[in-house]
Amino acid sequence: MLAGGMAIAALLIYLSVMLIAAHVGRRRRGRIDHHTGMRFILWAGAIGPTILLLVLLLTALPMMRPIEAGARDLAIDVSGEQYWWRVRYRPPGGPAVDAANEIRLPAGRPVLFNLSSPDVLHSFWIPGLAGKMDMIPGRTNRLVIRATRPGRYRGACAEFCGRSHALMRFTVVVMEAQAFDRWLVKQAAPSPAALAQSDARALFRDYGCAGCHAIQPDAIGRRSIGPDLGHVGGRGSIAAGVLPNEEAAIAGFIRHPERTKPGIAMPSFDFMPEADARAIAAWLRSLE
Amino acid sequence: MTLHLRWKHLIGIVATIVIGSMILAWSGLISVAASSGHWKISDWFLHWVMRNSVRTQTALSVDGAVSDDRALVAAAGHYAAACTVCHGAPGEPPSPLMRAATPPAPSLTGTADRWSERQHFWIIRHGVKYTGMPAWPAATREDEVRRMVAFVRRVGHMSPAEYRRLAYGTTGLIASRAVTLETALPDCARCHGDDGRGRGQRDIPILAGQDPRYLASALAAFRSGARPSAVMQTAATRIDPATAQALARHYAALARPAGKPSATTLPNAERIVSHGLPERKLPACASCHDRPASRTAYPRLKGQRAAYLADQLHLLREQGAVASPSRRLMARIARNIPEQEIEAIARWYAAR
Repeated sequence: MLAGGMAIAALLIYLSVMLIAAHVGRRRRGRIDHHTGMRFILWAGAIGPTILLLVLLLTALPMMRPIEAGARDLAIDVSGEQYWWRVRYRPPGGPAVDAANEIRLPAGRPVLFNLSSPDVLHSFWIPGLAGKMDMIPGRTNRLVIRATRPGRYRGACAEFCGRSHALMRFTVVVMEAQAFDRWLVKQAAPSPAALAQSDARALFRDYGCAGCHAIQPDAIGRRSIGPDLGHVGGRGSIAAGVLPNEEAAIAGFIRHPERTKPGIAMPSFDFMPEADARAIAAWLRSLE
Repeated sequence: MTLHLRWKHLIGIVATIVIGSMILAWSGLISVAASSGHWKISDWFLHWVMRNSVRTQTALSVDGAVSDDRALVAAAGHYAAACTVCHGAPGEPPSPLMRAATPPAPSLTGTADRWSERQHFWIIRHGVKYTGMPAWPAATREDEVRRMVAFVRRVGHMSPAEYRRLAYGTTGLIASRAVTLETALPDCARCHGDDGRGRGQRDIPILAGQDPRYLASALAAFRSGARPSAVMQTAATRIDPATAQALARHYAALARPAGKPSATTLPNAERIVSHGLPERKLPACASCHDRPASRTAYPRLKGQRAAYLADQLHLLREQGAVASPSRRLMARIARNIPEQEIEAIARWYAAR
């Protein structure tokens, strides 16, 4: 439809240019006087365009009104960090829910994003849903998004932030509102696999992974240093949208994170036996 | 008669000298025999070059602290195992074998008058070409070199008894090849003590009660050079892997001394140990260390000597890139510890 409209507009412009050219050609012999010329410039060059633009502006302004989000809407704090996304859902009247590197949204509802950064400039960009918004250390920028159609959208950091800037991506999953509500309630509770005693859970703690990655109920410290992995098994990808959420990819990432993301804060666990890395990876995949 | 020297002649002379020297060298008539020693004039010339080089290279490259006399046992122990064969020690003449070298290594009596402290640092750190004096094998461990400098400057004035007490302790022996636990232990005990508590030295860790897997992996890392230390690499290469496992179990089974409760409470250190500093990307120490029944070989820190812990943290911060893999990980973390909290964290652990 858009292409058709543009074709028609192009045709109209072409025709009017040709018309004016023909008209000017015919008038060349009986040259217009100074007064007529000045009047033509005034009407065609100033008054005409002013009226036209004013009409366009008045019709367009109401459409550009920012989407409102109030205290009863979902708020999501997103913090851009080298090179991943810290996500905290703040549903009205419910407990806050920590997540990372994937954002889920309810279709049709406005959502307020509070965007910040603890280290350097990042920019939060979901091209399919909204414009870019900078994440600036020391301040919080607000962005309201109302996604209308369920589906998967790609997001990325749009401000150069370091060596792995191009590897700082995320996925946005827009869900039907009711499905989203059910999903968020599940996210607020520890994953069943994280509650069961298992070898892999003990390995995860003994290697010190829990020192940086919170997995309820084993979280150490007030605030997770790296991405929260409490429900990482349900995410579409790992390492901020860079690797598939598969056992081999996770095990490889644990042993050599810098091979995937140069400059990453996570140290290499290259001394970890492959079997242990695989066991931890399989356990993480089970945390839905 | 005038001599017309032309380019042709000059080139001819130079070519004759070069070709002549090559023929002389090829003929094998120059003797490299150590038995005959040097001519007086070559001896003077070679030493003159050496002294000039040490003087200038020291002035150009040695900077900062060059001597550390706070702990001499490890340096003395290493000296006894690695240096006496050439240099001798109080009450221990050098090996007759090495006396027959050209040049023979100097006795260290009076060495402190011949060289300055900084020059000693340069010589021990870099070695001296054509004399048999090796460089310090662990190039990044200048802290070890500084302790050796302090020892070498004192050894000339030591009585044999004083020297033996430092280098051997009460029951120490140097094992030429440690094939069993029984022959290895007196060698280890020279520095680590019979009780595994490190003879009160700030640079020697308390091994008693340490995790046996950690001890075994540390020995292996020293042996391969993955964890740089001239002192420990020299000692660990005398130990075969099976004996290393037995040693690790032996020291792990010894009783760790109870930590002396600290006079102050160290609230910041306590917070870092149990919660870390998330805003500095510093995880809690306790998330890896001293976990009961842990499946990993991370070292136990509780009851360790405070000075040792602090020195190691500083070392890790400076030289993470050349550490063994698991220490490389710790180096990343150590750099996030606030400088002013290192001592406090070390003291907190020492008091447990």
